[in-house]
Amino acid sequence: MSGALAGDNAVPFAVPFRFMAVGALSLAGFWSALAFQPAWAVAPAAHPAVLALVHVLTLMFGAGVLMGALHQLVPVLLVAKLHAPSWGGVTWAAATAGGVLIVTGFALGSRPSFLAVGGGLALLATTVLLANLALTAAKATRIDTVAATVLAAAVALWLTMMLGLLIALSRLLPALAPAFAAVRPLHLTLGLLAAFGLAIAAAGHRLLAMFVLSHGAPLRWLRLMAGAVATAVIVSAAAAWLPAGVPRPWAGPAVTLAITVAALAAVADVRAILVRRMRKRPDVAVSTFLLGAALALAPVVLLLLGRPHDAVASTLLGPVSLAIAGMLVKIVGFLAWQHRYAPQVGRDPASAGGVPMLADMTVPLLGRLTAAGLTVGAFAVILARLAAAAPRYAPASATLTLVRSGALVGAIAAWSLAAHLGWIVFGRHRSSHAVSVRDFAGAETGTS
Amino acid sequence: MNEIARERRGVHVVDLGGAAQPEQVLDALGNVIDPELGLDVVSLGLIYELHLVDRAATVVMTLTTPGCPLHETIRRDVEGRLGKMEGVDVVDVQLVWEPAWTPARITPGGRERLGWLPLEP
Repeated sequence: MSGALAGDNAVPFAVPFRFMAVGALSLAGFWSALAFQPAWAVAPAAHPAVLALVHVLTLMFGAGVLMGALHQLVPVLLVAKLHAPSWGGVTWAAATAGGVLIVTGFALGSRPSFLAVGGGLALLATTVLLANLALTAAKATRIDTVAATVLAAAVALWLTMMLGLLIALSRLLPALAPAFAAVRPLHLTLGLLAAFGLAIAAAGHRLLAMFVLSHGAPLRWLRLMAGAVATAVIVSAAAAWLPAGVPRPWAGPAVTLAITVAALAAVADVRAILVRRMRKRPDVAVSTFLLGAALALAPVVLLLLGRPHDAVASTLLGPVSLAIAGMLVKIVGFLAWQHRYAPQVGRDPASAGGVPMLADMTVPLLGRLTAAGLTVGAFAVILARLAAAAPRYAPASATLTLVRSGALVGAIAAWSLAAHLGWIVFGRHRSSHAVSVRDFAGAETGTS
Repeated sequence: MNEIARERRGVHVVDLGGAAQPEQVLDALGNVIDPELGLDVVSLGLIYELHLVDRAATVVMTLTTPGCPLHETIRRDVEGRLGKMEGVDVVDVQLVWEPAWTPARITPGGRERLGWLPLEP
């Protein structure tokens, strides 16, 4: 069936869902905070408040949802049971506590002890997760390209946390600072491109194909994207660890080229799936994911224009947020269906159609509000950042008004997402499915 | 025993003197629904074969994705619906991955409800 997110290889509902609940609330918190403090959108990247806000989005929303999804997706992709579902509780507790400490640490002015302890907990969380996934993979009889790419994203997430901890330790122990000063770009490249990018592209390749009933899409674009991301990471790593004083004029253009190739390949992969689809109209959750994919080239344009920070911001607010928001609805929907309705299936054959379908559990209006609002919010913030870079043409008050307006729309969108997930999990759903058997008037070809 | 093999609604039906009527069994299978697509397993072309012998029914079927973990839910649904039919006491559901399912197996009625898009050549 298309529902590859639940069932025999399913983990207990609470394991992935609590990550996703915290993730959705974090996204809402992010946009709400920005609506109250619009200046943070245009402040320097190293400002503690900006770092706090960025980590709400990256660590608590993006990485949180990714960790939750990996508990469910990897067993499905590997056709193997998760090694230890109970470890998911440890992962969630450590990730959430670590995220809260890191955000609080930055919000309080980059307190080194908060950041170091939070970074340690985040690393612990991803270490437990990675061990769980590795032991699950050990039971698999086959690891295909999609599964391997998702596992690579999990490794990248672990490395991101490791580098984050090293950066935090260098704040706590200044003697370490020179050794780790150059790893910040690598921390960013790993997290944004390798962890988020690969996970979204690979999981999207499999899930999108299932949701739109597409078969036969080639894997070459996904492989090209993975190769380009690996190139970007290797170049960033080489640049980070070259001795000080060694010129690195090649690093920036090489990473930019690799990112451009990765983004183009990701878009090509989605297109290859869509042109083979049989389901004409994607639902609102899939449309949200597709909107994110469509915006994947915007950060490349900003990067080519020499606006790396804006490229990062647009990646997080556009493709990453939209893709995750869309998949959240699908993944939580499947998990909730399996948790609430699967036990009813087959018990009472007389009640055909009595069990709600997944579509019955969603509210398209909330989905559209989420997609449109997050897009408007992302454009407003990026436009404001560009305007702030040209103060002669855009007064600061107008820039802040733009951010505040966009952030309010973004906050409405993000709270709509949280409400939507709440309805999916706890709402009273009615089955609208009218079973129509024998709709096929196929000719009989009898042989005896 | 008089064996009769037929293609009905895209299903290879082998009736070796089963107590249940094949059409009724296919109707019952038509109530096993994919919760994501809202389509039944017959319309999706997931049922490859149906064997009816005395009061036993064997269903050979697949899923759209190998390793799909909903298979236990689907199996239970198939067993539950067929097991409560008149003339069926034993239900055997065999899940197979060869031949692999493709969208081309979806019935015309299923295609219509999905808003059919023709496959690229």
